[in-house]
Amino acid sequence: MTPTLFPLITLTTLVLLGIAQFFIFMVVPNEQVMGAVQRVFYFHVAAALACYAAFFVVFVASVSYLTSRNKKHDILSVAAGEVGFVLCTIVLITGMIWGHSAWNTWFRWEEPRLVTFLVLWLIFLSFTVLRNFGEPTKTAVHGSILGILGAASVPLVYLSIKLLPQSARLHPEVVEHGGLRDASYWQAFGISVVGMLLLCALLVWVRYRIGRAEDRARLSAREDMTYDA
Amino acid sequence: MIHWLRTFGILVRKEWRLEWRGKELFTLLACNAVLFSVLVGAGVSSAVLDERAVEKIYPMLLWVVFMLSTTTSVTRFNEQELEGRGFEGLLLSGVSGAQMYLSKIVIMTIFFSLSFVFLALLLSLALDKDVSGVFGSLCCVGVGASSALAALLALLAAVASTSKLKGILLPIISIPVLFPVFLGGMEMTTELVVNGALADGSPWPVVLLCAATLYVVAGINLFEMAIRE
Repeated sequence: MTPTLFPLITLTTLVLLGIAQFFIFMVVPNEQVMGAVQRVFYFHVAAALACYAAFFVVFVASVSYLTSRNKKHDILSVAAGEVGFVLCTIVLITGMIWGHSAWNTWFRWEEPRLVTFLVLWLIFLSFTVLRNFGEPTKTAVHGSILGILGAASVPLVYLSIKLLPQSARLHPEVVEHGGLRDASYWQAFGISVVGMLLLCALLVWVRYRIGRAEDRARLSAREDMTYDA
Repeated sequence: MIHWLRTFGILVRKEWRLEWRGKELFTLLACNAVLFSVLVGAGVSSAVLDERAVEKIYPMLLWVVFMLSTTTSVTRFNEQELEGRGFEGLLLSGVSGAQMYLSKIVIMTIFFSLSFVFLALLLSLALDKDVSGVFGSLCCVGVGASSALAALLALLAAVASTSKLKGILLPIISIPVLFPVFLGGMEMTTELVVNGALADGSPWPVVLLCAATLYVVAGINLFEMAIRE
């Protein structure tokens, strides 16, 4: 991304998120059963899709780091991992807010999507912990290994929770079942998703730039020490 | 092929001798099993649960204790090789990372299986739950899950052993990925303890097999990278 592209994408993201807020709170009508709390859906689903995208970036960047040993790929996987962790937290919190209103409980252990997201959040958490507390010279390789393992095991986690005898499909499948009948619902949903994906890309890019700057500073400090010695 | 198998046999013997000399894994697994069983027994007795309730919570407690006990016990498994630069020597002598990884799985599976049997007995005593009728099948489930557990922990122990957090990092990074093994083992134990046999067409053995295959494939490809740098 060139320096001229950055303000453009930032501006587009802000405008899209602003329009999304306008649609969510001013345009879309109240949902008949859930009422105002249904509006959390636009943040929840958009953040979930962005979270999946971040996790996919972690996986691809980890594989490419292990095959090419290009430091840029490692920095990208760190950036996507941290942003994914924040987005996953947003998904869990907004889901719990909705769940408390719909099911009268904050969390349902028998719901596969909920538990899968909790496990995904734990994987992101462990990835971040390993990155911060691992042996500095080895965190890149070790983090990539965990990134690949975590991403590869998520489908199996979902399947295993779905196979539980007490498993229940309580999670609403609004989009799959054509639940968004009013045109304004679709408009708000589409803008929220695009806005959140752009925000995710922007945050990953900013974190990536910080990571590159940290890396350069570390290299320059090492060169200084060698020169002094 | 014969040369490969001979080298593999030598490595298994080396792992066995290392463990036999230090007895660290054995001691930690046994101590953790006793400690957790005493805590669980004391906790459950204070809750004054009836026989039916104990039957239902026995599998869950067995698997929670087993997972915690194993993931906290293997943190020092690679310590001697790392301190004595044993990995480097083996790699220089032409031994592949896959051979080293598979030999570690063999030893870990043996110790984890023994630990599972010991724990199943201890918890049946602590909770006063008779499992003698299904003990053979229970041991088979334990061996199957232990091999999946060993496949992942052999890889992640190499990742965690160089970190600053050492002891506590391994459970943090391994438990989220091990979720399918935990659910599979727990559900199969429930079927055995409650119904006396595995249900017809139970999907859980397949889940365990899939998890073990995934971890072994990942381990064979990634173990050498984890120890090389």
